[in-house]
Amino acid sequence: MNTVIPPGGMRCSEVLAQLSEFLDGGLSVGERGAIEAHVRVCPDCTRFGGVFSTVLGRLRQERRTDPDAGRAPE
Amino acid sequence: MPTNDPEPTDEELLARSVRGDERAFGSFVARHRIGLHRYARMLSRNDTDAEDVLQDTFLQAWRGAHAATVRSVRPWLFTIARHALQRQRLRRVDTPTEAESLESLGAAAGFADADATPERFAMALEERSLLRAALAALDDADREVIVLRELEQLSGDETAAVLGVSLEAMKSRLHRARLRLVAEVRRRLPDGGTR
Repeated sequence: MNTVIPPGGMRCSEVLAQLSEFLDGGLSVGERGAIEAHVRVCPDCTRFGGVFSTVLGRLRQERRTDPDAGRAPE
Repeated sequence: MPTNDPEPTDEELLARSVRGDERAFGSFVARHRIGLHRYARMLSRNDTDAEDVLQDTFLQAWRGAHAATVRSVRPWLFTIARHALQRQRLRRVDTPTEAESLESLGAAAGFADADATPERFAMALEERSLLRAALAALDDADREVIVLRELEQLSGDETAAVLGVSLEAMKSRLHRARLRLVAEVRRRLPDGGTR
């Protein structure tokens, strides 16, 4: 990260800002391609994208398996 | 007497309710009770408050069904429930959640932390209570958008309608809430997430 010419023409902070839209399929083909180009060469964004999608995936799995998902402790 | 009739739609049940068919409304309540109770319980302080919200919601739905044309039932119900929760919270002051920069939210979530790996998170999340605790640690506004979008799986437009905000505002709120959730999970990693 933080190279002079950001990979994919994007800065890491821009990838961070668009991560949800990326995972939700809300970006244009061009925007998506730019993020993918960035992530291919940016270990930080690759790793954090993996963390982000892991947590969301676990959350959605909880919805399918536990009707009390996320219930606050008493 | 068993029949092969298909299950009535929500709209049919509501139409029957409007004509005074309380059994139809009972079926409608049974169909939506679990999801609404989950929503109310997660955003209320205790079971009693949640039950009050639930009762208020179905009462308002019963009344509203007579007065309104309901196009999309689940968003309509969650909107009613949200208003019931808001009435309950009238004397509470929620902390604004939009002021913190994305960069600081990302940092708290482990954006630049080489030790915050997907594998560590996945292993830690095998313990289901960890995710529950992280969700419970979020403030009401963050938890609400996550419950609606991720757990109740409303669409983006439906979630925005329930929250009474634009689609773009909902997306921003959801992204920030997700980052805060990741940060809360990170703080609970067994060998400690660095902040």
